[in-house]
Formats: sequence, structure tokens, C-alpha cells
Amino acid sequence: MERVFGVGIFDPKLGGDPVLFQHFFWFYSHPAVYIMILPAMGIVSELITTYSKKTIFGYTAIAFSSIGIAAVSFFVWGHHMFVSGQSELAGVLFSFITMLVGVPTAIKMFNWLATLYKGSIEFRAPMLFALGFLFLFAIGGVTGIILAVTAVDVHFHDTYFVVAHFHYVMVGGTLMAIMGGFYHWFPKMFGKMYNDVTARISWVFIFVGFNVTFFPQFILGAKGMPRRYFDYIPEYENLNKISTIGSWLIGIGFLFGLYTIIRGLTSGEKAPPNPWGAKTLEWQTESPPTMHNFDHDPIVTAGPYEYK
Amino acid sequence: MAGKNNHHNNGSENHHESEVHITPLSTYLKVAVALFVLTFLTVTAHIYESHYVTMAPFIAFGIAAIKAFLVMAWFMHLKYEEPSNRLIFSMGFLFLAVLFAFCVIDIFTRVPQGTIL
Amino acid sequence: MINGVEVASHFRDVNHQYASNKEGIWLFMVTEILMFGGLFVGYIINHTIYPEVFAEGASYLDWHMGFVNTLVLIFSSLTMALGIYFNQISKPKWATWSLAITVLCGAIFMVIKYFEYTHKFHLGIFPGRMINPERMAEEGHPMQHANLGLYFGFYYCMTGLHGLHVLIGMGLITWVMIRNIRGEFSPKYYTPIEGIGIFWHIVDLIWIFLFPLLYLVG
Repeated sequence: MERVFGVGIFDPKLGGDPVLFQHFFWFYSHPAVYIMILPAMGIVSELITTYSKKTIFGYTAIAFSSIGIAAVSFFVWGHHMFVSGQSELAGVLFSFITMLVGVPTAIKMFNWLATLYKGSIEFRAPMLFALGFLFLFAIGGVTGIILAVTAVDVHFHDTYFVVAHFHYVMVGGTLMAIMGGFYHWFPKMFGKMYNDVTARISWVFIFVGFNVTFFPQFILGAKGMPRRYFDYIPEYENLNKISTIGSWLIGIGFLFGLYTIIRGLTSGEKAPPNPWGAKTLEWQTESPPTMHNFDHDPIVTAGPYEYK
Repeated sequence: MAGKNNHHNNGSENHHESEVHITPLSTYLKVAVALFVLTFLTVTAHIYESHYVTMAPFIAFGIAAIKAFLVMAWFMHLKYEEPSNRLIFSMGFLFLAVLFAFCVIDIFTRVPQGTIL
Repeated sequence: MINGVEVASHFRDVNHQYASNKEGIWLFMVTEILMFGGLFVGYIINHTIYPEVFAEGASYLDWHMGFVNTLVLIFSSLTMALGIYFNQISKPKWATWSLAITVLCGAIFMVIKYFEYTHKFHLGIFPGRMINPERMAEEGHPMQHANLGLYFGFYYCMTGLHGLHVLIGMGLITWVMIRNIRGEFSPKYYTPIEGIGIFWHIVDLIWIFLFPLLYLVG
């Protein structure tokens, strides 16, 4: 409406305010990315507990932290707008609240780490993805806190530092968790086992490739390379080349993953109801589940993730 | 399949009739009359607006808020709804208030700045 | 089926299904409030920054027509609520008439809106940068403020979006009215009418705020 019909709500020529548009845009879009990470964190809880055969540490804290992250995330949208021309006061407020969101997030991360402690860890592919999540999301998260510092953001805004940050949280976080969850529930969904060796090889390439691709981008951003440019000065060339090679590694990793999945679907061995010895309810029925999921009502004797 | 449903059918369907609150016709009519009266009041306030120009937007908004409350409580049945539905619906307004508050904080604390160059 | 009402297999019983359906409807209404509310926020902010521009814009609005439209919509809210009420007390024919009157009120609203819009187009008043100052001067209403288009950007977006919802609501009410005529509802089952009723009340609610904010505050 605004562009085609020139409605003018945000048009400076008509007295409108483009920053107001940014407020409207990010008011939705920022919570949206937290919506993306929260289910992934739920998956991580499942994977960490199953593959370390250990009761989750601080279930209540983890649960309330999810709510805490969601709640705080609705108040931080202005951290995308530090250099947009919004007032200093608004900048200060948004910066402060953004740093607050690190608290519940950190609670979750530490609780997962504590869950691993003295667990009986199996380095199956899903666990590798979960561990990858812990490492990569930590980097992504702390670089987010770096960006939350308004003075620093003035330099890093619209550079590759931001690109690296959100790829670490999105790919290193959400995607890792999704891949781990996919392999974890593969037998349950399709009734067939996948080959763990090829899945692990896939993980190695994805993990290494991801870091080779995106870590140099932190450096590029700090050195000043802007986002959304198709070309760059020669000083940035070497790091860009390294980054590109990393992307090929990721590609190989996903090809291995695709192979694993197709192989599993076509000729995987039949999956038992509970190949991982997990405690949650979906594993107490057939793989894949029958028409109404449970032929016999499951008897629940413990909380989720209670392994001992 | 029918067997599955009977298993869950614990005879609570009778609760539905006795639980559901049916607003009496007289209540609906009273609310409607109140809404009409308030609308006339809004317009009357507008006609005499020149006497209290500064308060005009607040009075108009205030009357609108009362009308909105009447519609929500009785026409939309929120007075007799589950508390969780009241909470859910009020969340919409709360977040709107958040958006409004932060935008206002931003726009009205801007300081015109000359360039530092 | 439990007690004459179809219950989907993932619900425990009728109550569970009914409660879930209502909650879903309320969640949807939150999105509607946020969508219109965003426009209101923009309006209020710009109104505070440019009070004279908004006063000039409001002078082109005929509050008599807005007033009639408000009464029409409030009345339609009543008949919508009655459409549910009559089904609750097993008077489906009365319910059908109530729903029909609701649609009729919606139509009256849109007709009045049509006259308002066409009159403005005639004067050269269009949204945003499409506003036509030459035309306005020709018609004897020269534009006092250069950014009057901002006000009318809001006016057309807000009333246009609202009008669209009135049309959608009319369509949905017609649909449940037809289902009602076919006898698909009873005192035990009228959830679709309730859901659409809540939607229609939201439409009324929006107008209750639109009317004073656009027509009366100037």
C-alpha cells in the first residue's frame, strides 16, 4: 500500500516517519526469530537427556526460562534500529532489555551442560548435533550480546559480523537442533534405522564446514565488510575465499546427510519401538506409531527425562 | 474407531448444557440501549467540543473504551468465558500498548542533532 | 458423534472440543487486534505530531454519516448476538432472521461508506501522494497543508481495511445463515456462529474506536 499507492504513512515527503516503519517491522520480526529458536531448544533437551541417559538438570528452570526468553523477546525489537535515528533513550532501553534475554538463555545452556556431567554419553549423530548446538549457539548468543552494546553496534551494524551472528544462532542453533531431532525421530517416523556412521560423517562436514564458513565472517565484519554487497575490496578477499571453501564442506555434509536419509528410507533395517532406550512417551509405542498412536494406554510413572 | 471415542466419553457431555451460560434477551437489549446512548453522548460531546478542546480526545477515547468494554463483556460473552480466553484476548491489547509506549518513547525523546563532521 | 455432536478423534469429549475451538478463535482475534492496532498506533503518533493537518483532514469527514454507521454496526452486533441466542433457545428460524438482518446492516454500512468514498474521490482526495491538490482547489476546497495526503493515507487504509472486514464478515455470516437454514445448528452445537459472531463484534469494536478517532477528534 505504502509503495504502490503512496499511502504516505512512512513517507518523509508527507511528514511520515520511516523509523516508525522499522518499529512496526521489528516489533513482529524479532519475536519471530525467538519463536524459531525455542522449539529447537526443546529438541536439545530431548537429545541431551536421551543420549547421556541422565535426568535433565533443573527441568523447572529450563521450562520457566523458555517462558522468560519468550516474554523478554517481545521488548527488544529496537536493537535492530540502533543506527536508524531512533532516540538515545530508546536505544538505551532496548540495549538493556536485550542483554537481559541472555539470562534465561544462559540458564538453559548451563542446565544442559550440567545434564551431561557424569552421564553415559553415546556419540550418535543426534547427540553430535546437540553438542554442536551447545557450542555454536553459545558463540552465536554471546556475539548477540556484543551487538546489544549500542556503541559497538554502531560499528557492526549492517556488516558481516551481524551476518555471522545470526547464522551461528540460526544454523548453528536451530538447524543443528532440527537435524539432530530428525535423526533422533527418524526410526519413530519411518520405522527404519538410518546408518549412524554416514550420519556422523555428515555431521563432521557440516560442523567443520559451518565454522570455516562463518567464523571468518566475524573477522570480516569487524574489519568493516558491509552486508548485502556483491563486491568487496581486495583486503577482504582471503577471508571470503576461506568462507567459500567452508560452504563447499557444508554442501558435502548435506549430501552425506541426504544419502543417509535416502538409504535409510529405502533399505534401513526395521526399527524397534525404542532403539535409543529413551523415556519419553512416543518411544513406548510402535515405530511408526499405529493409527491412534497407542494401542494400550501408556502408564506414566516418571516425569519426562527422568533416567535414574 | 467408535470404540476409541466411547472410551473417552466419560458422560461429561451433559455438563455442556448446564455449564453454558445463555445471556438473557433483556441483557442484550439493555447493552444495546447503553451503546446507543453512549454513541449519542459521543456525538453530543463533539458538538460542544469547543468548550474543552484539550480534553476532547480523552473524552472521546474514554467513551469509546466504555462502549468497547460493553461489547466485549456481553456481546462477545467475555464476562462468562474461561479466564484463559480473557487473558489471551487482553494480551493483544497489552502488546499493542508496548508497541505504542516504545514508539512514543523513541519519537518524543529525539534530539535534533547537527552533523558531527 | 457424542450426544448428536461430531467430535474429532483427538478430543476427549464435546466440552474439550468446544473449549479448544473457542480458544483458537480468541487467538485469531488477538492477531486482528494487533493488525488494526498497529494502524491505530501509527495514527495516534502522527496525529500528535501534526494536529493541524489531522484537523484539516477531519473537516472533510461528515460525522453524521459516521454516526449513522456507528448506530448501524451496533445494531448489527445486537442482531448477531441474537443469532446465537435464538439457536441456544431452540428458535432457529428467529436466528436465521437475526443473521439476515446482520448482513443487511453490513450492507447499509458499506453503502454509506461508498457514498463517503465517492464524494471524496470527486473532490480529488486520494491517499498519500495520490492526493490531487489541483482538483481539490477546483472543487472549492484548496489544500491547506502540503502533507494532507498523510492523513488520508491513514483514513483510507484504516476505513478500507475495516470495510474489507465488513465484507468478509457479511460473507461468513451468510454462510452460517445458510447452514442454519439447513438445520445444522442446535442448542448443543452452534460454535461456528459463535466464532463468526466474535469476529463480527471485533469489526464493530474497531469501528467504535475508528469513529471518534477519525471523525470527531479534529
